[in-house]
Amino acid sequence: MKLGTKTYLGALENIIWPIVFIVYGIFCILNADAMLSVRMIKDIAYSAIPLGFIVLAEAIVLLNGNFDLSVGQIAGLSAAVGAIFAANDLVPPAFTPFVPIIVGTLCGCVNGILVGKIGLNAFLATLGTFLVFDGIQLLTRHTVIFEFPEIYLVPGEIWYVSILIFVCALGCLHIFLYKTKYGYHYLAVGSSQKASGMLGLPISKIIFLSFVLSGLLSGISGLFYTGYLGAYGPLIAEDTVFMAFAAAVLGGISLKGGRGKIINVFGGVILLGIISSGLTVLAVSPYVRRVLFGVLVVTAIIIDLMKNRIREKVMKEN
Amino acid sequence: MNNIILKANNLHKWYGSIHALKGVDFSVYEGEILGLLGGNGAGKSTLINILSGVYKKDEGEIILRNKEINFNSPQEARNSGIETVFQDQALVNDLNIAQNIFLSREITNKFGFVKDSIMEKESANLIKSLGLNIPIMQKEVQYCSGGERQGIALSRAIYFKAKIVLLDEPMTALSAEGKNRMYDIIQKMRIEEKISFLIISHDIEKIYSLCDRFLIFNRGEKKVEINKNEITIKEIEKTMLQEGI
Repeated sequence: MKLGTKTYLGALENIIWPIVFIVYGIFCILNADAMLSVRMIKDIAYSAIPLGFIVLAEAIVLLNGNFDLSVGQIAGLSAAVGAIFAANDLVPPAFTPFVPIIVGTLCGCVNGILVGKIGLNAFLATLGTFLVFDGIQLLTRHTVIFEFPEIYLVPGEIWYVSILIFVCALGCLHIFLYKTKYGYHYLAVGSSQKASGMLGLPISKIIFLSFVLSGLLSGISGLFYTGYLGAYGPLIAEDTVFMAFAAAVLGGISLKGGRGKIINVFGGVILLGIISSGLTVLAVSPYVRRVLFGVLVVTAIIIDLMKNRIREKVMKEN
Repeated sequence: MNNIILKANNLHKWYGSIHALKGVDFSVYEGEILGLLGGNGAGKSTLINILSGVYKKDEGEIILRNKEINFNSPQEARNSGIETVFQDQALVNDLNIAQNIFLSREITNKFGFVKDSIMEKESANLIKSLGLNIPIMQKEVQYCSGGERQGIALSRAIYFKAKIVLLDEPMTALSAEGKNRMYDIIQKMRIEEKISFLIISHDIEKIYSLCDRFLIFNRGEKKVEINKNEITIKEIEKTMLQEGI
């Protein structure tokens, strides 16, 4: 492979970063005073973290060649159960942050059993659990909770703690996926279940693991949403799955599975933060925001398709 | 004749009510190339899938180097020295050449981290020793030619010191040049590494020159077992016609 080709393909893999700067630049032109302040930059990063965990949850399943529609609902249910345990002193305060994480992981186990062990189609199975988790969340708690032990809110309430934990999670996933043999097996199953099966990789276990990881990250998101908002509300993490999907794909995670840098998902998360904050600054109506986010999802898919076509063309020429 | 490396006695396999393999017996000698011939549904692929650990046999015994074996997974077969190169080579397109060669048997340090640079170096040496010209081991296999892909799949067998390589229709995706290179690689592996090969192919002409012996299958039964010097291509074709294959 020629050096020029390698550089070109590298740029293609990291295309999210120029997109981040261009979109930020556009919002700066539209409202420089607000967008260029240090506080705004901090807020963009901080406000994106709870959704960032859902993006990671979706990305990890996409990398394994599947799709999880229930990530937002897992975050919501985890936040609800966590809030009840924390607000009612059902566990010692120091353990309260672990409750939503455990709930999220258990929800991930349910998805993992349905898809990895029973072999259901991931899209349809998680469409079902989307409704189940959503219903259970509302049955569990459909009103707001404000009173929490301080330790429960800390991870999502203090901006630098929030960002630091997210960066650590990103780093751990990066090491797992690209530096360990288990990560190679994970990506191999995402790329080709057939070939991986012929080589004896434990496909159903790996698929199960992908949903468990996804549930765990969604559970963390539920905790961070509560900390960020300072309260639990029944609409927590609602409608986030499509945003998460768009951010993961824009971050370079292939829709076909097995390909993508998890680090670049951070770019997708930041992009969502910029768009969300930028639209707030410009006082764009919620209806228009919905349309724009829909456009973003379609754009993400088009960019993924174009990247694949360009890569194929470049590799064939070399 | 060399030593027997693998012996199968009275192998049976059923898929529901279909009796796919009916009491098959055969032996494989060290360093020989054994051709498995027969039409569709003859039982060749079932036999390969049993030997490679994809399917379990229902009856009979398989003895590998004087030890009875019963594989529960392809991984167990590979660990016992039986490597399979499937028709589509079992390569993962999004992984690079080195990652594919070492997939499921990666070289790691004591902390469990993969040693990419060592795997790439070893892969480069292997690929070079097979006479293939692929300069960069980070190349994803989806961008390799058919011949290169076969070479990559075969190099797994060499590196992990396989004793038997099972090849299921290995020439299908190859150009004329690729087929010649494949012949050279197989001969080299047989002579230098004393590896035995079992080759399935519909193309009798192509594999006749390569094989030492032939097993001809029909409807799950082994009909003929014969050395190459005892039969010509035309006689093989005639036999297959007589058997209704």
